[in-house]
Amino acid sequence: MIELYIDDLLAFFDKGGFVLYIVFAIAIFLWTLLIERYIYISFEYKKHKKAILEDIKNVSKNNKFKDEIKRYLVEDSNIRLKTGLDFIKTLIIVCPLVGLLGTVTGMIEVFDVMAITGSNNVKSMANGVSMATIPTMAGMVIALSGILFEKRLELSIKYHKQKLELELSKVI
Amino acid sequence: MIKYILTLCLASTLAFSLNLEGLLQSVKNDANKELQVEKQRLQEFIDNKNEQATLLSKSKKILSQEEAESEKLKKIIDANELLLEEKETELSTKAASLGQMFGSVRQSSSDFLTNFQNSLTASQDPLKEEIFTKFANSKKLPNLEELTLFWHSMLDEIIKSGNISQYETNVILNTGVKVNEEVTRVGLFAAVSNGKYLTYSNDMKSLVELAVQPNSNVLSDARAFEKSNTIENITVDPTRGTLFEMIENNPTILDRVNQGGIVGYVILALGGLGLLVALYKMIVLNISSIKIKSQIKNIDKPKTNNSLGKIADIFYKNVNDSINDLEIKIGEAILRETNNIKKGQSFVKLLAAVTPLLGLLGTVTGMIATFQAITLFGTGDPKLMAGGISTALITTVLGLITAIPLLFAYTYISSKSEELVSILEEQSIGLLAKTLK
Repeated sequence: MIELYIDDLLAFFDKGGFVLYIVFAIAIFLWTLLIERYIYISFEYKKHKKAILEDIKNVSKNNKFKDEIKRYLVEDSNIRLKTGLDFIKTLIIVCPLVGLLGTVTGMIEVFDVMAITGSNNVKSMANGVSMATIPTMAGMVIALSGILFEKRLELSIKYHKQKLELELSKVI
Repeated sequence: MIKYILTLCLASTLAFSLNLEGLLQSVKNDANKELQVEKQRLQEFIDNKNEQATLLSKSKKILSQEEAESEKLKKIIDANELLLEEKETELSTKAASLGQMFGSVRQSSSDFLTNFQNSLTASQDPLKEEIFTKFANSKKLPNLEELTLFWHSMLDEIIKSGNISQYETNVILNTGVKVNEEVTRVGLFAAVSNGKYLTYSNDMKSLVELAVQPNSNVLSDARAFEKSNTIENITVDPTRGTLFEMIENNPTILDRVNQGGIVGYVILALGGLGLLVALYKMIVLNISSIKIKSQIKNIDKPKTNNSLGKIADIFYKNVNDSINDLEIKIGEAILRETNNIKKGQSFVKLLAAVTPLLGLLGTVTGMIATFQAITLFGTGDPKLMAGGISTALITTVLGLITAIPLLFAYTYISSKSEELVSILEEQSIGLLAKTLK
């Protein structure tokens, strides 16, 4: 049963041509980064926040630079939260572009076939057409799925930053 | 003297006249004798007159007999003639279908010959071509033995076209050298030696290495197939060599790039420039990032070889000023360093944005060329339009191919410099203040 699906998948990749592999690689990259971010926010970041709150107790309330120190801590944790987010955004932007690349290479394939066999054999062009359409579709799907989670991630980072700011204000 | 001579003449005349008289006498005698013989013969004829008559009648009788005989034989000849005619028509009807058969033998052998001359099996058994050539060109009717040979050769060819065999034969390499090599033949569809695909050339009467081989995956498959004794994957050409020959016409990457035309070269040049700038920026930013990171660890000992060190230096020198004065002084220093960090970044972004646009420009110019071709030659021949279309498509591809890495490079540069700027702007005072306690 599983072999059947694997065969289907292989046939799908075969039809899509080499651009589909690029899209696939981007998708894997994108989702690894997204999952890594979610894991960081829900586990690592909490430890980090606890350490900051411990650390901040040593700063006296009448320090000349207390606002600056607070800003430093917020920014530092913000940088930590945001690592890789730009890369994720770029991957999402690039996905449709790679899909477009697939469209064009597929069209080149179609015209190559046309130059050899003439325009009367529509079946022989089907290969190029599927090479043009499948990567485009895949690129769109991955960009759309990525953009949903990326926006959620951005919102949760913003929320965490504001929360940290509030918590720090309470301490200092 | 004359007297003597005259005397001699007289004497000889005398002697001669004597002789003539003798002659006359003998002639008369002979005539008499003959007359007598004639008389005798006449008498004889008269005597035999009756006998002649009987002979005549006898001869007439034989003649009539012979005439009757001839009549009889003539009838037989006529009858035979009729029979012969009958038999001849019979023969011609029978020979007609037989002639058709020989015609078809000739035709099928010449058909077979043309197929055989292009087929890979010809390399295995070059003598077989002679058999087919002989049948195709012969004017006389083949006998039963030859027909059987033809039949068996055809069957042999059919069997060979369905099997995989290894044998030694002459191969002409790409360098033009003729060598004797072991060849693996897969039916009529592929022949491989030393991991290279071969094709059969009838002009050379030998296998020839393909000038442009299929890609390396296919070749390594073929090599594995040659070495193994079990069934392995191998790429064959179901069109008996036509597709392999078409590989030669397939444009290489360089051909493709050349199809892009001027716009294509401009895109590539800009892409190359952008990547160089991006690479330079990456190296510079990484070096300053490493320096700043090491400075963060030793924030109380400022070094002036990095941006944070310079700011820290100003901070420590003016730490006793009021916070406003300190912030103004540090802000000035930060502005200077930020400029340095962000320099060149927007150029990469510009190129990342411009290359797809240039690709679009190429698309449009290519389409213009295509439509010009259509106005000149009509839509009849798609090959005339192919030039413009390939320019259009290739420039788009080039635009995208250069834009995508530039985009990644820009993201890297901008996030890195963003991080550095944020360290300088937002954190420097806080970081430094923290060390004071």
